Amino acid sequence: MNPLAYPVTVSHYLAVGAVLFVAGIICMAVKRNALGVLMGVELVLNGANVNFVAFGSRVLRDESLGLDGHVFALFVIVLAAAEAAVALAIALNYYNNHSTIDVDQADELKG
Amino acid sequence: MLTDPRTIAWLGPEIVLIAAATGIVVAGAFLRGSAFATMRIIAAVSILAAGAALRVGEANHWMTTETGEWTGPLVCDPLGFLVRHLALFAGLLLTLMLSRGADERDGTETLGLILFLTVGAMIAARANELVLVFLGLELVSIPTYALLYLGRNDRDGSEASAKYFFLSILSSAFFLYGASFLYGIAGTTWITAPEGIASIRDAVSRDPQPFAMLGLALVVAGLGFKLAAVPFHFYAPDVYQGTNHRNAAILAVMPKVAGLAVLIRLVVMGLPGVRNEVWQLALVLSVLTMTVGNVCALWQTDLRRMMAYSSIAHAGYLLIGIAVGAAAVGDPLPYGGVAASVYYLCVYSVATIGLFAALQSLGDGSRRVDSLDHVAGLGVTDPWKAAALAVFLFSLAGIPPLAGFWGKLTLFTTAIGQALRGESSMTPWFLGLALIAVANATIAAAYYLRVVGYLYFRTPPATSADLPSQSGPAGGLAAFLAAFLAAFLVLAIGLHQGPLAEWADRGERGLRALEPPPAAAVRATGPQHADIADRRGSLREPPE
Amino acid sequence: MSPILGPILLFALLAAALAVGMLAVGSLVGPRRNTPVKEMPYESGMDPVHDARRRFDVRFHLVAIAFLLFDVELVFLYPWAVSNKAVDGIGAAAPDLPFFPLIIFAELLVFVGMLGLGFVYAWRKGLFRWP
Repeated sequence: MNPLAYPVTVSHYLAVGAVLFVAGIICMAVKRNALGVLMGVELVLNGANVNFVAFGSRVLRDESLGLDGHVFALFVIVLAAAEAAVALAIALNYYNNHSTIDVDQADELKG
Repeated sequence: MLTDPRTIAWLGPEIVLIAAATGIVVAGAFLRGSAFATMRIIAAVSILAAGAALRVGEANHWMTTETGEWTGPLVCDPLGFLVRHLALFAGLLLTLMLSRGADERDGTETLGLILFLTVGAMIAARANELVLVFLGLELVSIPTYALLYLGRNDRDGSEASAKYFFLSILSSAFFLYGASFLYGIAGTTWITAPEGIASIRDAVSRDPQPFAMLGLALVVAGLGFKLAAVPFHFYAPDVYQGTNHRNAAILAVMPKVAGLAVLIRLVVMGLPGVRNEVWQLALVLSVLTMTVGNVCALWQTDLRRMMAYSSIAHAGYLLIGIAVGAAAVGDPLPYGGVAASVYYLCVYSVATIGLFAALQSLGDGSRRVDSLDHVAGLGVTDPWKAAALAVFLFSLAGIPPLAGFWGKLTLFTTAIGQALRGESSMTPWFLGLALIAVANATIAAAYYLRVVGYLYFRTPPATSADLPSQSGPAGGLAAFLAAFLAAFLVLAIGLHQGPLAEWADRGERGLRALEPPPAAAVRATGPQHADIADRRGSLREPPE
Repeated sequence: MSPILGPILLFALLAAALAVGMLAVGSLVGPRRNTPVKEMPYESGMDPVHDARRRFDVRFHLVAIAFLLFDVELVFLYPWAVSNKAVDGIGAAAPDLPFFPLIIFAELLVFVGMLGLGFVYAWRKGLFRWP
């Protein structure tokens, strides 16, 4: 069977979403730079986004518009933008206090 | 899908608050200087106005009917009514407990953000739609990030806000990823719906497939973070310690209010198809959460760190009600788990905010009340505030005449009731849960009473020079007023627990009225996408 | 003529008029002060050719975030437009309420008004001032 002629189904998109999600989690876990962690966050959110758009697809259900999934994806995009704005303030504040944005340096609060 | 005009009317209180918050923030940019006191009065008045709008709009309705009303994205029922009242009251106390000294610089922004997160909790309290649930949760989270940043800017504060921010986004992402699977199974974002309209509840009941379990696990992980349930709790102690009293009060209450409401609507009532998994998960989380929280709180000397572990432990108590409620979904007999959980949430929230408000009112601008030593001997030096603190601590510990006792009692009895009445396979689990909860209550009493001991049986430090000279927020009369209001309410609920218990009970009965009749819970028919417009006017479910 | 062609033509005309009008008003009313900095490709004091790892002012990031926020918020106009497409009489029948199209339009105005308030706030707080 020619793999290039194989029809793309919803599961393929789910696989992409899962890869994005896991890649984002790994990125958040191993990155030490705060902005790198933020990139991981974006990957995770977009993994969920790919899922929403895939589940809203007409391939899966032709009787409804599937608009819910698309609207959800738009909300997630806007959320990601809002969080990027807050993240800048938090990263700057962190830099002003610690002179670095290495999040592994954040280990003073414990007990 | 056209906008139902009634939806706008039912959002009245939220619209009042959003308008006030926007006005305060924008006006604050124009009025530099001493606008804070005026703006605080405007914020408090707008919260009272929203409460009045809520009562005018719905109170009569709930006097005459007990069933909820399904309107699509928003569900209008007594549970939402009660939780919205709680959110408004918490918002009022938080507005009052802002300190003049520390919050004056960004005072209008702080006030506006508190109003926004109140609205977030109110939306989450009755959202029946995944997008709206998500919106409510984020409207609580995003202002919290900004408030953490505004509240304290030093080294610890920046560490706390960075930790909370990244972990909170991760939890939102978990919730979203889980919600995407629930949406995928159902093909709609509605959590519950009347007969004939596709909903997540129907789809999962019909076919509890592995994807539903995956969605459930991810959604519970996301909400567990909001509740600070073990194993998603580890941020709480660091963040509480690294911020100020007001932010700690927000973190301890607002995400829990929103998270518990969503947990009830989405997980308990929305996923009866996997109810065995839900109650087992909630039960295990509950046991872990209260045990870890209470045991770790025992050897804390920092007050906010201790309260962080205490809030973790109380999340465990809240989950008892969730486990009972989930185990009994579809049971024709009244079960009371959800009612007990909501009752406990109210009692816990008022006592916790009150405690932080009292601590805040103790600060005098030159020192911050952070550790146990700072409150030593307070019964002599400041008897009124010490008495208020003692009331909250006794209530949280569950000493009989106070509100916290009745909350714990109700939770434990529903767990035992479920053990006696539920399926026989549940009996050992719920009996064990009740026993562990009682054991935990005694552990908890130890550390709360230790603080009371510091208040009354220690000599105050000789001079203020003995204390670390940190500059902290000045207390102020308003914070004391907030503490006084909360203390009054804790005493009033304790002595006269009928009205609140009745509303919590009504909330649960209203939820059950939205359940499909047991025979129709599992149907073999396919999804039917009926047009909502056709069903408008016949949406109200008949009373039982 | 198809019934939707009229609005499309009107829309195209309005868009063209707006674009030309903005350019014309800008060149008529705006002050002209040519300095070497303003003649640079990016007009912001940044040398466009340099090593990629050089540090630059964090205010660039701030302006970028402000742009991103206002840009992304407009994405909400899509669901508004799609879910209300029945109202103008092309799709299915709108509910028989008085002023229903006006209510739908007012929803949009409220949303854009909120964005406008956000812009006013950012302006007053000095986000667009470059000290």
